[in-house]
Amino acid sequence: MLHRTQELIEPLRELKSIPEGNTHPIPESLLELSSRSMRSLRGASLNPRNMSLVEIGIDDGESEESLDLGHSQVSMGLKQTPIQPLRDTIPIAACDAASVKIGETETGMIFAIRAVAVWRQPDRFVFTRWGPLLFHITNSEEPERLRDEDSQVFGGLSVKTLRVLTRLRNHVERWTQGVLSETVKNGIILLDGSLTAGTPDNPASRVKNILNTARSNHTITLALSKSTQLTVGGKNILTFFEAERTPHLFDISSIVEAEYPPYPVRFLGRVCVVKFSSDGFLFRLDIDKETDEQSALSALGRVAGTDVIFHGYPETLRIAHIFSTFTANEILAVQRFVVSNHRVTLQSRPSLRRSLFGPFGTSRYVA
Amino acid sequence: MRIYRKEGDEVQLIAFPDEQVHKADYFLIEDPSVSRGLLVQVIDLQYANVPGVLEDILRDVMTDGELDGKDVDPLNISSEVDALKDTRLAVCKVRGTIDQDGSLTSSTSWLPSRTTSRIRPYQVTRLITNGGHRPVKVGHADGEPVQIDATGLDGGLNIITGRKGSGKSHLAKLLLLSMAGWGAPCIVLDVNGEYVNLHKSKDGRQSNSRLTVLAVRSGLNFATAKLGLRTIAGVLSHALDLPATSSKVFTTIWRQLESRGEVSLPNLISTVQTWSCHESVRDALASRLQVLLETGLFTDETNPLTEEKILHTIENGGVLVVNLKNQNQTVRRILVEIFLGELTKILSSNWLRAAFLFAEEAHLYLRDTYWDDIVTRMRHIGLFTTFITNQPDTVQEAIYRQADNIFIFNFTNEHDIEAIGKVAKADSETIRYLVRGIPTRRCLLLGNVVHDLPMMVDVEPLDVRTMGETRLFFN
Repeated sequence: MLHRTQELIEPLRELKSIPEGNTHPIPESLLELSSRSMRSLRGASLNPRNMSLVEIGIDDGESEESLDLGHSQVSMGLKQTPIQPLRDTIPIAACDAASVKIGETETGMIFAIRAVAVWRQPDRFVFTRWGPLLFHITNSEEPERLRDEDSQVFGGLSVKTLRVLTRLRNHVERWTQGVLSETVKNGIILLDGSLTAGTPDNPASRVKNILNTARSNHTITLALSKSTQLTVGGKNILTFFEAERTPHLFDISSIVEAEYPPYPVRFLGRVCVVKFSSDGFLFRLDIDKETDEQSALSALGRVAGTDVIFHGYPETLRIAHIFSTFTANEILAVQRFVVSNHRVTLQSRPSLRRSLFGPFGTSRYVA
Repeated sequence: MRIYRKEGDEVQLIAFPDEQVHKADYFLIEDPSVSRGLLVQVIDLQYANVPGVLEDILRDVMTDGELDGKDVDPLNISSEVDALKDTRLAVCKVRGTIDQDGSLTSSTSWLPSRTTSRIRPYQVTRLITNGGHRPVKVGHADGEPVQIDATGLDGGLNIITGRKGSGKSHLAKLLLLSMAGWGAPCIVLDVNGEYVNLHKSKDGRQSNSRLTVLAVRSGLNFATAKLGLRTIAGVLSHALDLPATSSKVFTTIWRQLESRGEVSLPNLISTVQTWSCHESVRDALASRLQVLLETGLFTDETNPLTEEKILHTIENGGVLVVNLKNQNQTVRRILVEIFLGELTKILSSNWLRAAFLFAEEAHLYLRDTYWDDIVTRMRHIGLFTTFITNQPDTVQEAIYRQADNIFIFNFTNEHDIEAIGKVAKADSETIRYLVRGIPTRRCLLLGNVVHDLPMMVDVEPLDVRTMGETRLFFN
């Protein structure tokens, strides 16, 4: 058994600083899925991930669909809307999730996933961090029986069906976003990524539910992407708007949607390019489509006026990212935990790449 | 604990937070496949250089002020992270090999297995501090009493050093009384008058110690003729810097008076004043003899302190304290010249097998040439010296190299640590790492008394009137 008795609910209730409603326990189904996947480890040998710093973070690439837009459409001229920073304080919350490879077994890989939600309060930030949860994802096809069992415990999606790590991470991240949509009233939710959905890894119904719940709580959902795969003639779309110095917004929804077929990918937000501060960077921003323009601008003004500090990026989202990211030390700790709690033996296998290429074989860019 | 790496005579061990490791601790790395163990001593403790720990700490710092939060951590992995952050790297020096029969050899030409070796604390006291035939309890190490063998101090040169107030005089007194307790003849050159009450306990009771205290006009009284030409000429040359030409004239005068049986300080002075020689020679001799007269050391030449009397005070475990307190440097140097001359006579005549000299702050009264003399010639005739100093750079490098035992108390100054790092009994890294920051009364023992296994000891309290504490105004 995993050490699940050490969780959760009782100590959290004692913490007065965390707003009521933010103390969500990890769903039993997720814990059960983690526990079930790790049970298959017993007696296996683990080739731990090498903790060379250059390799850290390579698992967390964003999985956005890439799209090249026609050059003429962008050059036609888009409406620029200025953002007026507002000092009004309203609840702002953000969340992020991260996954990292822990090591390889004979039958698959072990991953750790963690999610973080951050709430901005008048005098400080409050965060809740869920996880890490461990998953042993096997390479082999599983018998139909197991697939069915897992399907029941995990909202119709089993580990074997999800297959890839990004799906698991998306699931955890969407769950965290769901927590925020339920708990933040009359405020703003900042998500990492986009409001594009409709792929098997990222079902549109789930995002819709999150947006609906937030709307019912009079909360506006914004998704911010640090990078985007949207390009114009092979050049990243953000570079087309760099000249403008003041906080502003370009709505490029019409161009983006025109390039995509209506199914299966669904744009659940208006796709924009935003600059929150004069000295900041440009970001892709998705605004819940159901939010009217005035409310959206007002929300952006509040983010720009109260939450943007560093390079034009919202501080709550920055903290969420920092606190979800795994450090090398944490990966070592998880490896230690796996060895001591799952009866696996550490067995470092030599790196074929390093053996072949020596110092030139460590980069992830080496094919 | 796990072996991390070995390089030269240094082994690095990884120690997890729940494992007790302190500086100066000994560990045995036992390799069951070869039935022997590598004996190592921790000289420094560092944080293990765990990858990513900087990011962790930076993130923790963020939570100190404006951030407050909670981990919902069902697997309790945060405790593993904390454990990794507090994981330590114990830098150790290899001290030897413990064979299957428990004996220590200096062999270090093998490597224990990194995977199968077991690392356990090792009580090194079982190797070095059984006390031998003449145990001297010097203190405690990890709560265990530490006894050295008094014979380890025999025939050697010892140094006790440490910064002011660190406890070096305390240890010197402990060793002195212990040696005297085993019947060793001891002489103390006491610069601060802090050994004069060693025969009394703190509450005023008289102890068994046989202590004789001599001071100027209180027992320190010599007869010129009895001291002899060699000693007096030595005093004039070395303590009073008499030029060689004048020294030759003095020898001639001495021999003439000696042939008539009229050697005395007043006679020497009057003879010099009428002697036919160059005026400058006469003045040089007269002024120096006058200085001798004014020291008060030759006031009653009819009842002098002789070798026989000195021998009587120290034989069979007596302690003779030569109180140099309140004396100027010239008088101190004269007295030391006389005493070393007398001791040389006693030891050369085999009246005494050996004597132990405790010299506090010797640089204040010992001339340069005597350092070499003490560690070479006098050592061979049986005068075994213990230098006690808080200025290690005043002791010549040759003394450190030839020292048989060194007792080092706290030092923080780089220059001081560098000076004592020249000892041959331990590597400079051991001294540099272990000595810095050790508390008062804790001492690093090096040399024969610990079989060359450096050992940290909390020195035993002493129930005697030490009078060595600094005099304070606000007290």
